[in-house]
Amino acid sequence: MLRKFLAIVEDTIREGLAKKTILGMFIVSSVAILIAVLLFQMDSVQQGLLSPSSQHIQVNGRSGPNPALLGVTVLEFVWMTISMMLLVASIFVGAFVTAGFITSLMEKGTIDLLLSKPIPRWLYIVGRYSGAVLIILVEVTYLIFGLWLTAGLSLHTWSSTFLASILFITLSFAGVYALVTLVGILTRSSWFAIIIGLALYILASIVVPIGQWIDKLLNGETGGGLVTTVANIFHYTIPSEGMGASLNSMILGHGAVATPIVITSLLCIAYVVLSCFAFSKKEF
Amino acid sequence: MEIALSSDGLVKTYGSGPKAVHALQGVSLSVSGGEIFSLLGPNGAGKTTLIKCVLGIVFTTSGRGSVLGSPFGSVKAKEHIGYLPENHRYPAHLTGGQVLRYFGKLSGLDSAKIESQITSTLEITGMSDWRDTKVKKYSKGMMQRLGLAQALINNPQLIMLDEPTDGVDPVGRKEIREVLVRLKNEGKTIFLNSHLLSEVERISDRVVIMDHGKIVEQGTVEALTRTGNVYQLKLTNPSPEVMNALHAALLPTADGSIELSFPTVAELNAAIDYLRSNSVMIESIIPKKSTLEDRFVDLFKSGDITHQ
Repeated sequence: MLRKFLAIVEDTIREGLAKKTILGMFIVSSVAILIAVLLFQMDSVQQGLLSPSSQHIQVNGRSGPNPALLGVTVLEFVWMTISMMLLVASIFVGAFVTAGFITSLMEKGTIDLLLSKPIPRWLYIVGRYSGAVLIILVEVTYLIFGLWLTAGLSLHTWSSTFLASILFITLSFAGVYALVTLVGILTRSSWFAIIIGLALYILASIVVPIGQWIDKLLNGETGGGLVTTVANIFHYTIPSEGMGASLNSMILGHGAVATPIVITSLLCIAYVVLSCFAFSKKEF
Repeated sequence: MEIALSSDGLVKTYGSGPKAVHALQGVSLSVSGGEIFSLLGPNGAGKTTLIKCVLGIVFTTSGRGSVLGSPFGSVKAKEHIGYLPENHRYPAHLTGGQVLRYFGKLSGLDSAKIESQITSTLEITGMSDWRDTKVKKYSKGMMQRLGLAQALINNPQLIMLDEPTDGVDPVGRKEIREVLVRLKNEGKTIFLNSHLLSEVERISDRVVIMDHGKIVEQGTVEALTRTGNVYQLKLTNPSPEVMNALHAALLPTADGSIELSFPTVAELNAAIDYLRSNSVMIESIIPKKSTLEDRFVDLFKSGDITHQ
């Protein structure tokens, strides 16, 4: 079984490499690391990065330092920004690059061959899913480890939390990709999978404030109403919600928030199991 | 002989209500081990659906089926089945050797076995020189040969081939036929689905003709192509009196040739004696053999099968 699983993962990676987009992502990451190498050599940049963060925010009409960033260096602020950008990029770009892995499996002429082999159907989904997550893990690790190493060697500061963001970003992608996988199996269209998967992810991040606003319009009070409750339920059925906030909190030294990590992990498993079930019941 | 595949009252219906498609309507058949068994029928007859039911690609609506001693679609049975689907596709970025290695791994073979099987199956299918060429450069015929090699990669007991010679040139078709006969001689069971009736006739032991999801006829090729004692006689200017005398034995023909049917060889000889005594020159006497195509056309004309 392991040999067959690894064969499917390997095939997924080969398919990914055959698409130039993944190679392009590596090139972009390499360029980013090279730019960081050059920037970190400059004295002014080094001094600036190691100084305390001076980001100001408006509190009660007055401008003052952001209390969340007290004691935080500019470098840590930069790490946080990069991590957040990577989290969003890995979800959106990653979904575009990898959605085809599931639908290509079900193409006419391919699926008949695969299903004639002595492999339980669910293994194809788990193998393809794992292959896609592995590709993103390697991509993210390459970029983050490269930046981390460059900064460490130049500035002699080693941020373990920035390194840990690799797991946060990969888990966030894995969560959304589990949803994309399920939609892909149900619709057999990679475009539908991308659009519906990402639309649900975006909707989940804004649905709670919208629910509160509707409740306020209907009942004159914020939160606690029926619409807010429904919005909250929907919010918690979509993976990767709140992962960004948890990542920020960790990088800024306030510790990671466990709830989004646990929910995303459970939803990952749930959506992959649902995908396997849907695939095992499908006729081709 | 051991039964390799059997089905009993197999029904497969796609959809429901008035728009339901009845792809298989109570198909019962059995395939013995070591024979070449062919499925014939017009498009939409249910041939491919039957193969898909055997492999678990679609699920039967009702009825029972067993392949290599296991229920249809079982993973255990598939370890010993090789399948070449119609219009199969392989990843364009892989070479022929890589395609076979991938499917060898999916079949559960170990690395050493995979390499020896790749060499042997490419040799059998005449594709050894193309092992390291990407499949996107393959012609249709080469894709079919690679497909056949893929179907043989796990050294299967049962080989199911859907239009194996589709797109293959006449020389290649002959080579594939020879491969199939060789595999049969090695004790493999071959389940063939082909539109090429002459091809099926040449190598098949038994044939099933299907239409609209039902078996219309089945039997050995010999039984299906048997015509009885029908002879084609070429005569030089037989007189109307002679033709009248032979009237009872005359068969209608489309091309104006004279075909006579006799219940026994003795009656044939009596007719020859009569013709000679009336000075009719007999240029040739050829026992007429029917073909599967003739049989197929007969069934079509009789309305037992219909064109879609």
